[in-house]
Amino acid sequence: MRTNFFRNREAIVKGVLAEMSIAVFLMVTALLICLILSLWFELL
Amino acid sequence: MIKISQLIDVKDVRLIGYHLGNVVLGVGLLMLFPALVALFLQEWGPFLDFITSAALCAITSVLARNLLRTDEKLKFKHSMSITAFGWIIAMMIAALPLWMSGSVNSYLDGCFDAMSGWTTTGLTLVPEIDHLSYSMNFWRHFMQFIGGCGIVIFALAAVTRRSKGSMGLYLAEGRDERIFPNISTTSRIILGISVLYLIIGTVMLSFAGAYEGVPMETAVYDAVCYTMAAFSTGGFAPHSQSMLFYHSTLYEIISVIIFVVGAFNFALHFAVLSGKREEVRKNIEIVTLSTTIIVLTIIVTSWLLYYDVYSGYVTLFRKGFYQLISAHTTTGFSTIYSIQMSKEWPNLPEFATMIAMLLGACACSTGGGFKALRVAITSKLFMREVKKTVYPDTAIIVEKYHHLGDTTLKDDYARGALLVIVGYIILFTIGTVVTMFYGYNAIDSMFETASAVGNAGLSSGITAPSMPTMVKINYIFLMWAGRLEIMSVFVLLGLFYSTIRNMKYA
Repeated sequence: MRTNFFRNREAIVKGVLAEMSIAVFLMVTALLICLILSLWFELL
Repeated sequence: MIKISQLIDVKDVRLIGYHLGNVVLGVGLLMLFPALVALFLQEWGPFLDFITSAALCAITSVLARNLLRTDEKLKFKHSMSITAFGWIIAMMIAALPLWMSGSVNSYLDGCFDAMSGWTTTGLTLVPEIDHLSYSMNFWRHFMQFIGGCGIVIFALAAVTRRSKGSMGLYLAEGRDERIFPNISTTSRIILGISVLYLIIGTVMLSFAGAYEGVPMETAVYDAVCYTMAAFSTGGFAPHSQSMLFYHSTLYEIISVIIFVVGAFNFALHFAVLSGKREEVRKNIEIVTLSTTIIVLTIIVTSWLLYYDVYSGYVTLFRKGFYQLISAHTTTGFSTIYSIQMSKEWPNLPEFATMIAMLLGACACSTGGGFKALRVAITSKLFMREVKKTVYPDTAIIVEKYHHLGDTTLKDDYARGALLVIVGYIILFTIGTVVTMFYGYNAIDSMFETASAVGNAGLSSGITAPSMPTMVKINYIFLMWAGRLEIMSVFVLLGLFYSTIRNMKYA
């Protein structure tokens, strides 16, 4: 089972991308929050 | 007259001592890595410091392993004691090269940095980080990398092939989820995942360094150090200005990717990398972590804008959000000076960042704090209790959540989660009071204590070589207790209490 885990390269590559997508999602959301809030305070 | 055998069970001491001898040998072997770096870079002074320290470990270990040799099976109380003592011994050994090389002002400062390294905290008392030798800096980051995996279990896995009852050691190191029933396979998978991300992070940051015009060898060295610290959510940096040194958005983005992934549960890594990719969006820990990060981001950024601390959304993102996510994942990389956090930021964003450090990363990860899974379980418990009061008495209320499979909320899970959270709050309160006793203001004391107990590493400016000795000891204790998730410490205190009680009634 251990060897299967390290040998399944396709699953590992897709898994790494899936995990990194969460970090990217958080950064994009935060950037949008910063942008919207900046515009909001600019208008106020 | 009191007999020693009445106070402590000799068999217990022998068993604990034997395994601690293995831990000492394991840490000594780990020192050969920075020794090799020193040899390669021809840094002869640090090379001698590492070799001397490793030799001391070898002698101590040979004595302990031969004098205390035993084949007894480990019970859970032994595992808790070995882990709790093992981290202290690892700190004392790891501080030796730092102290012998003169990198720190005193042996206590060396112990502080070593504990900060092993526990992946990131607070430092090294006065001149920019002038440290490459191998000594490598040692600081390497400690965080191994500390994130769990030093006791790795030291034992490296030295002994098989140890009866060693799964208890894994659980005692704050890992409450088993990836495999077999400890050696589990530790190999944890190490494999860590090395995989170390390679990916190093490649990404090396290219970023080359793109920013950093000489290639420096870019690769910095990339290795930053990735080791980022994936282990450690926060040490090879430069005193941390991430601010580069003034590079690219570095900051890549570092966020690495430390966010580092904040994930190792059991989740295993599931996702084995093909269960839907876990990433369904898992309650990821959902909770993302939700608290987004809510706290809104609070921090809106208040920073309201008080006009930063103008422009990109600066707000690079300073405000970066500090927050670094705190929430308990990493500790910084894009502002620690004094700016204390002097320029209003109290509310500083307080929100402190809350983020306490909430922390995922369970069974390299991060610290309450952990997202416990926060989620506690929220589910509150929801269940509210529903109980609202719904008719005859209604049966069942709370479910998805964590590596669908699970029903059970009372013992909820009790366990609440106990650890209450334990953290008690430690946080004690630590804050001790810091305030030495004249520091309330918000900075709370921030620094949360950083130590949550193993985060951001500083409000209190941590410095000149801070009082008792405050240093206080933070060493908090980092240790926070990393072991309180319970090992309470078991150790319980053993001391029973020993004293035996003495009283003997």
